Amino acid sequence: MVTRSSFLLSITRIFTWTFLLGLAVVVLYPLLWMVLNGFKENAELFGNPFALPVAWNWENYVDAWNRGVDNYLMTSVLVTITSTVATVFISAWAAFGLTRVNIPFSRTIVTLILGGLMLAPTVALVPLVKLFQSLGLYNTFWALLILYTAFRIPFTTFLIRAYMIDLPREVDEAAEVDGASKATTFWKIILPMCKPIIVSTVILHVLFAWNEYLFAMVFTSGTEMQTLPVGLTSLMSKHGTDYPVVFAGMAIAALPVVLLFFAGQRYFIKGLADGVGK
Amino acid sequence: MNARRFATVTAVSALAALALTGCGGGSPEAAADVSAAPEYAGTLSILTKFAGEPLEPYFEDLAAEYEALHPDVTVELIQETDQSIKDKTKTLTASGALPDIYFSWTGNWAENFVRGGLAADLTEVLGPDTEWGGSFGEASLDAFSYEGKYYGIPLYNNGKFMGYNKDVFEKAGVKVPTTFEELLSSCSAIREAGYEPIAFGNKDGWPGLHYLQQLFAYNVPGDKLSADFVPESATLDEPGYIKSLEQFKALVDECTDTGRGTNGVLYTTAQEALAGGKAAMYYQEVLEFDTVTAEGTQLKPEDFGIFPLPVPTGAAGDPGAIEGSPEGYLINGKSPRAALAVDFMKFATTAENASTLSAPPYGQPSAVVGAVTEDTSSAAVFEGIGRVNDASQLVIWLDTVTVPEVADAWLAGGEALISGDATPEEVLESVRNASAAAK
Repeated sequence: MVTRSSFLLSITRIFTWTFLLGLAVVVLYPLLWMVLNGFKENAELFGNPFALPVAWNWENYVDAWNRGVDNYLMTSVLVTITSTVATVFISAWAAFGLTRVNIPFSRTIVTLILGGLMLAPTVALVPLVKLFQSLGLYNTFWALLILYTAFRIPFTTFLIRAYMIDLPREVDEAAEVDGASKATTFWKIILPMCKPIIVSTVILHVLFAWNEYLFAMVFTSGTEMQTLPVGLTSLMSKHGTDYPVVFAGMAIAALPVVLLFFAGQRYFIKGLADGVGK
Repeated sequence: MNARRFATVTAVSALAALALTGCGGGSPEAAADVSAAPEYAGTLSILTKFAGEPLEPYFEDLAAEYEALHPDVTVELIQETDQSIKDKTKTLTASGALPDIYFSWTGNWAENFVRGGLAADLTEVLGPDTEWGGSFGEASLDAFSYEGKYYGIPLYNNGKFMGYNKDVFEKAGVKVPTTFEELLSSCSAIREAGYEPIAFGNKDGWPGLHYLQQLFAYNVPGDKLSADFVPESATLDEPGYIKSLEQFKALVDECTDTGRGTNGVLYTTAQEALAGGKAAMYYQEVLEFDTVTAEGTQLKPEDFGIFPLPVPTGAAGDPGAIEGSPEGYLINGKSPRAALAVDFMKFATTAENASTLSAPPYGQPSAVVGAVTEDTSSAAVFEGIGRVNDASQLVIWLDTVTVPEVADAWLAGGEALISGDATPEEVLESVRNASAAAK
């Protein structure tokens, strides 16, 4: 019996490992393919798409960098960082006010904020262009910052509020007894307690802002102000695209997110497990 | 979420949407006076399709030079790519923020702006009898004319030709075909020599329509063809349509290696097959000539030749027609700076600036007569543009000349024909239905 069960156990193990390895290949292979093809020449790419590059053409990466990817990367990084900070802090403050402070009409305010979730960005596009043009914000960094922040506040507030509402009231009361102001309670006590959900919302927002296409396409133009998703499409043209350079550009674009993932791997898994899954 | 709260949320978001969209009122309209003397002051906005390398600097340089000539004028450029310009133009039009000068294709795209009063009538300054209009090829000007009025400034020209590898033709013992039937019969000799006769990728649908439109121009009489593009007057009952669809199917079956699977091949893959010396022919636009013979490709410029798609024997249409059309710029009919916009476009199309556009690194063959010369352009581009200028008529791309519903029916029909899912009769029937529904 013992040998039989250990045999079954090892079979299960083999299956699990094969499955996980297969999954890893499915996820990693396209990425590797992209990076490798960034070293090829156009003819080689079309002739032998799955072979290793004959020569390592680092020039493609340099070329992509010089053809505007440096600017796109800078804009993307800046807009992602600033909009993440703005969105998460505004949402956390809002959630704190709505769950731990007695304010009149708080339920109506919650409904109003959550109502924002139902407004599709595409619907608001035309009036927003008018608004931003009249304010002189069209094709500026501020346009993207304001839009990314405003459109993500409802969802982020929704997540943080759901987490905060379950934190024990006694914590606030203890802080109040010790003479802490509301602001101190927020900064020193509630916010640190919300770390798992804050990490989750940061991850979700970074992924959103890094990949957003529609607003970036409509509200910006030219290499100076465009973000990576929009900028990379300008490396392609209908008549003759240098695909290896595009792949090189895409590899450069993916790098910061990959690095961010490795640096914050622990938080990613913990954050997603503790926060959103709650 | 309970029912009451759901109702509140819905009401609130509806209110928010109303508040956001409700502010769109009409703005006072100023009729554009294009022939007035321009006042050299203010900001001139331009929406171009030249984003990305190598085209981006063209308008930047023009703007800088123009600003140096007229210090009180600021030129504001919005540069977009082939992909992004459609959405950008739609959004800017919808929000009433269309720039003073904006890019346009010919055909239905430009016509929508003309009908909406957003394109200034330039007949007074750009008509074929005027000084400025006289500097363009007449066919290019006509491509932007509607009901006898001229609206668009054609910037560069384009046309579709069969590009071929002279070296492969020699090895296979094949001469440049003079009829469509000869083209089909030459394919087996090329295949025996070890090359793919015609590289063709129809993943996007429109490459197939380019073949079809050229064949329609050959097989269907011109006045019938033009009437059939407009749903109100379309009958689509000429026998030339069925003939063209059959000829196209024969070409796919006999001359491509991909055959029924052509719908899965990328346009670029086909382009690369000619550039890489694997295919003998590839049907392409003048704008691509320098790409297939670019540095690093197998195909050398001296081995590259072009010919128009050969005319089928006994064709009832116009054997001198070439499929192609210029791309150009319209002037906002509601712009208070229309005269200044005209002045800028005159500057952009001077002989000198037109030559710059036609020469490397831009390589966009200007629609200004005489701008493309043997010295500045490659031999193939020079020959192609010469043929476009001499063509008895330019037939605009099938997917832009007609309304979107009919274009979609042609796209689906072309794909179904290639894959063998529909007969020529079935394809034509589906297009007739789409055209009738679009009336």
